[in-house]
Amino acid sequence: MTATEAHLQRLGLARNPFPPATTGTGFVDDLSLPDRWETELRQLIQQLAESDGDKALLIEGGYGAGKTFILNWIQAKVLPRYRVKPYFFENPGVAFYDLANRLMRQVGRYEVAKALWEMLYRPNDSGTIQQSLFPLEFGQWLATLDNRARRNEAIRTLSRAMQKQQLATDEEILNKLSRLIVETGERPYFEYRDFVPRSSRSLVAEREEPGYFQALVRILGRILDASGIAFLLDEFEDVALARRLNRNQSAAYIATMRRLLDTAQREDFWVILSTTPEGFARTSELDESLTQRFSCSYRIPELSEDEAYGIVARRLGSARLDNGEGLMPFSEDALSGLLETSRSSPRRLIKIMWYAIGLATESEQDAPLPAELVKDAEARLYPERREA
Amino acid sequence: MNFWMRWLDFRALRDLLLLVGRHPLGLRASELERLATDERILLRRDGRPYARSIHYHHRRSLERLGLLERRGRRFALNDRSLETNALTAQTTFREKLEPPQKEAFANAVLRNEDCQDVFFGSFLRSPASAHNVATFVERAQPVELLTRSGGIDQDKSHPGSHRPSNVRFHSKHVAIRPAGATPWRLLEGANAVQAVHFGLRAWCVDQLGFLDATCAADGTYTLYPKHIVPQVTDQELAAEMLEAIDFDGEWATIRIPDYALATGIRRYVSVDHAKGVLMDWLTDHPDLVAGIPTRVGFITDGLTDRQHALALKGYLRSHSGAYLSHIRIHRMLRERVQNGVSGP
Repeated sequence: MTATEAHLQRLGLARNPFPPATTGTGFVDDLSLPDRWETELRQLIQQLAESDGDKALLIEGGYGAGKTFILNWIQAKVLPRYRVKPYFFENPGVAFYDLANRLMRQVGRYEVAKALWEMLYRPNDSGTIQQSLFPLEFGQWLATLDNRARRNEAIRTLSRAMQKQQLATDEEILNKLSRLIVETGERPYFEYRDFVPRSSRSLVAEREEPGYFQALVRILGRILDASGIAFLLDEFEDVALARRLNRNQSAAYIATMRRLLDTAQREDFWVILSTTPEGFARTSELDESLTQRFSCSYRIPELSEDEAYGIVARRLGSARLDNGEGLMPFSEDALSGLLETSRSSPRRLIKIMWYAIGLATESEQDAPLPAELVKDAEARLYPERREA
Repeated sequence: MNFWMRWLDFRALRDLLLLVGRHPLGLRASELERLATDERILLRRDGRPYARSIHYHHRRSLERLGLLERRGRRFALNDRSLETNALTAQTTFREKLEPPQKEAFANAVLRNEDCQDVFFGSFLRSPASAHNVATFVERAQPVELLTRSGGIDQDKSHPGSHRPSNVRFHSKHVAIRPAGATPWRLLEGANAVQAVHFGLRAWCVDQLGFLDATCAADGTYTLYPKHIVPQVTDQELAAEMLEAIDFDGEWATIRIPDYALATGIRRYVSVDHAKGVLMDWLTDHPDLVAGIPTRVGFITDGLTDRQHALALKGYLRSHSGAYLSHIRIHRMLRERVQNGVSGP
């Protein structure tokens, strides 16, 4: 046991419960929000679930306000209750089909192909096509596709089956999705070029992004037996406005994003974005009609004194060795010396508390740790105390 | 429509008037050019003399603004002009323009019918009614200005031709309208861009200071009238700015470019003046005011290099060098500012 661990134990803690990076990922058990945030967000998501319109939610907040944390919380604790399968995208890249790339890689090619193949198989169907196509296991069936003629025949058959199940209507989309299944035998994994339009091996339909996504959403919904599919896009402004995109690409991306929202209106498909206030403002300036589509938006509020206390207490509680309460091993007034600007910002608060515990172990201070220690940590972490 | 306005150095214009004023019988154009070069009144930044066209534009502009008058082949001061008298009150060259001199130039520009026709008509319903800066600032409304390089008129090209010889390039155009109004007034051609964008806009914003400008994400400028010398102290402005904030509970988050522009329009002060107040809050009250940084790429995305500086102007530069797009303000700041209490 190191000296730090030994001192943490003397303070009654199994570990330092405050992550220094404060990037918001954390563990499911750590995902809890202040009551006010949780109530408001649950109400918004309830509204979305019950509405027939766009299922689009925008989370707006500055750096360190808790956007990623909220998205993680929605992903882990809210959407499953509605049987909505969430897919989390962190900075998904510049090309629109990058979303498809990330999405399908999360699921896995073999898994999606197998599930889709089995979904198309209906034992109670009396059609001869199915009987001749699906008497085998998926792997065995793939092994039968050993020449081009058989593969082409399989693609035609699968396309018809998918059309019959109304997964898509566009011939190109049906063809691409069928190839996704048929060519799995050769390559049971996705490659980036599978999602680059105009490539000979491309698995995406050229200039048919909304239709293609619509088909993917339907497929995933059916094979997962989910009531809906949700895309959670963190740092949306990086996609739309990053320096890597020129003005035309930005405009095209935003236009495509709007069409994706059209998909959201027709399908059980959710889009949940997080962005900075400036990202939202600039997107509004570039395309007001897009941001207007986000009728449900949540601006992350500043933490109140009680909420800051609650966050710190919960974190400490998760690492406490005994049954202590409140802010132990800190004194109950430990947060009272913090500046309003620090106390109201989740990232600053967590970082200060992480540093304060570090200072306590370094100087071997015993509980209760005083407010002066926290104030000292604040002064050392943010020495200038001028701006964010 | 007469698009004679071009970029001009108003300090040089004032010095040219001083030069002419030293010669009661007036000066011929060539004499004025030679003296302006010899006295280092009108020179390039690297010290080389300007081409004659620059001298012509400066001299002709003084004449068009009614500050010089032609007597035969000589140019002399227009003694009937009050502005001329104000501009020739000092005796030394190359001094920076003082507010009364800026005001005199501004009055002359505002009274010029061509300038009213091309530019000030969009600020005022009756441009002739604003005879001086004070009246203009009081009555003018903000306008939006958009300059575009335009594209190729494809209809004029030869079908199938590899390099059409008679393609008509809409090389430039400038559009102007009262802020928020729907129809744009389109002025086509490079001359219009020179006159409005590099001429009148630059005169009024950069040199004479009775307009201020911000640049939006799509490259649209917002121009609004302001006093050359602020009529409000920093303390008064701070109190008024705080009054205009709607707090949502304990805190308010405001977007700096929008807030500074709105303050400028409401109080006839520059965006920089309003931003100065915000900077004071950030510096003096770090416990109650915090900035939210943004990346430069966001601000300058899609804008030309020349527009970058103007776009960045709307944002606040922190001491650490980061650009701030928003600030969070605690409700208690209002009380502190009203009572003149300093921060921790």
